[in-house]
Amino acid sequence: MTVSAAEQPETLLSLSGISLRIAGLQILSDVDLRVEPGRIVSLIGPNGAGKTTAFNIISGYMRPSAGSVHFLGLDITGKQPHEIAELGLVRSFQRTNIFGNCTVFENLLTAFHMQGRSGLFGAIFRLPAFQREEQALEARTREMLGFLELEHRADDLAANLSYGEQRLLGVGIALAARPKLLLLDEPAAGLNPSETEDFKQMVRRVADSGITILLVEHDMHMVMSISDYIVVLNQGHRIADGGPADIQSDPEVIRAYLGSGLQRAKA
Amino acid sequence: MRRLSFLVIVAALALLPVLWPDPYLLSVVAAAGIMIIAAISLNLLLGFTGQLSLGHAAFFGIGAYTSALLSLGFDVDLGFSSPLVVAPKPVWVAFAGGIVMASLFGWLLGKVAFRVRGAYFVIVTISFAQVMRMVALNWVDLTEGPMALVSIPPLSLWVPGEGVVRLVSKASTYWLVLAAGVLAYVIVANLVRSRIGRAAIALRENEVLAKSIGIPVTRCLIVFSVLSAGIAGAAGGLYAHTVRIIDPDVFLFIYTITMVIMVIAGGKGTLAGPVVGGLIFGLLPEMLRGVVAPEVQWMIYGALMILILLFMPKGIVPAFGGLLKRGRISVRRPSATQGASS
Repeated sequence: MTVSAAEQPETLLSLSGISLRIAGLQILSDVDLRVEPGRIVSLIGPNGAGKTTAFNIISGYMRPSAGSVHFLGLDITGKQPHEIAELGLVRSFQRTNIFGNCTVFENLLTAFHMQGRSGLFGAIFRLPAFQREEQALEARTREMLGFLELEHRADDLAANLSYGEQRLLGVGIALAARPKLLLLDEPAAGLNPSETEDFKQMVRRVADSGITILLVEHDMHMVMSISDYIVVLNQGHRIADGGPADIQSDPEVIRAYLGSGLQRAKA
Repeated sequence: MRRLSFLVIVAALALLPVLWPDPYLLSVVAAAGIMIIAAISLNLLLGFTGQLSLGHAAFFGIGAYTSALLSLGFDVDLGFSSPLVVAPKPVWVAFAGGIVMASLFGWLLGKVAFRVRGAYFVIVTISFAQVMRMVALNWVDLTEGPMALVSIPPLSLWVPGEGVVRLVSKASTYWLVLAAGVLAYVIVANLVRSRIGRAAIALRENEVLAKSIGIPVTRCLIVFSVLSAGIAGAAGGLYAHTVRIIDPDVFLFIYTITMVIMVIAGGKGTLAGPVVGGLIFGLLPEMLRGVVAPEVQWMIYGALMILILLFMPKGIVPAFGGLLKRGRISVRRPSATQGASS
């Protein structure tokens, strides 16, 4: 219980005893979570279970009432989102995930912010170092466009992309920030089955490139087929965890959440 | 291509006093130019970080007063029997002092913007400008209050063959303003098309997402408000040393509104927007003078603004930029959709 996650280097991210109360409402109570490097971990549960809240706490957008978050052995509880991102923990969002009035190319170029070093002086005087860095970042942006298969959309405004493409771009923006751990918040919500399939393939490719993934998702077919490990939340409590097979046969999970969804997942 | 057309436009503007040496025209354009510089500075904040400052005339005024006071020298009693006596400084030193002082206040405003956003920020900026106006009106020992600061020395420049020249002729004032304007434009253009510029635009577009990819939003806002205030201060300094008399009216709300109109009508968030908007709304009142009655002037002014916003809600530059296919920050990319424009 008192063993600090910081002493276990094999854990990338750990939440211990995370609780959040807002105006008498217990959103999360005493949630523990562990993410080992190189895995795809999913966080599932019915609506209102506290999944997105857990994401907000991990990525620094909310502060827990109790408990702590450790990333790479560092206590990141209460740190600013941009500081957490600098450490290599980057998230995507359910809805607000792109810079709408910028082109796709600019979106990704912006997202490489942390890979740049140039400052005010270099920018105003267009120093050679600044020019080199800009070229390097543009090259990386083109690379990322290729990875996302969005080259043909490079000069289009992000707001004009299809929904599926916007989701893809959202993940690309998060990837450009060079995460060690990528948090994806319902990335497949609203996608049609073939888009979901494409998306799943991309998540696999991201994982294969060595990035650990923590996923919140309602599409059970996707969750069961790509997760290495699943944690189930219900009403702010962790009710189960284990591999996909264990979770699908867990009676409490079936009662609280899977229900008929189980049939679909098995289909 | 862009650079070439930029140089051609600057060269054409620089030749104006030679081709058309009408002192009235030159002084009108120079006055508009000072407002354009102020509008460029406002655009940096409003157009690129998305923060509406309705107290921008304050930075203009702070720059003007600081520069004027330093070049004239002053002594005030700060209380506790500690008089502050400042001897007159060289004009360029005073001018730089005005920029620094305005930037300092910009830093302060940036700090505030970190805490309050949106409507609250707007109110803070309006109050800030009002307070500055009250200080200028009532601290008579320092600012002469409504009696105005007079006999402000002009800027001077060493010209080969001519020695030190006081920049008092209409043509030299015009060139001075043009040089400052080009400098401000280039600084903003370079800044915006850089890593920190993209960070500011990200903050405008989606602050939550910007934070998530490691953009330090606060620092970014502060940098932009310092630079914006500094450029506005420079415009104020130019005003003080070319008009050579300033009174507390430089802090009036109408000047801020004029800047906002220039930026919005021209196209906020574009580089050329404040210049185009500034030329139209800076020169229009003078062009209409004598043609129609003063009341009608303002009606035309208002009607034109409404028409622009009705038919070009994003401003003139984006509207025409769409036609010319280059209103936006261009990125070298093999494009599949080239030639689709009319």
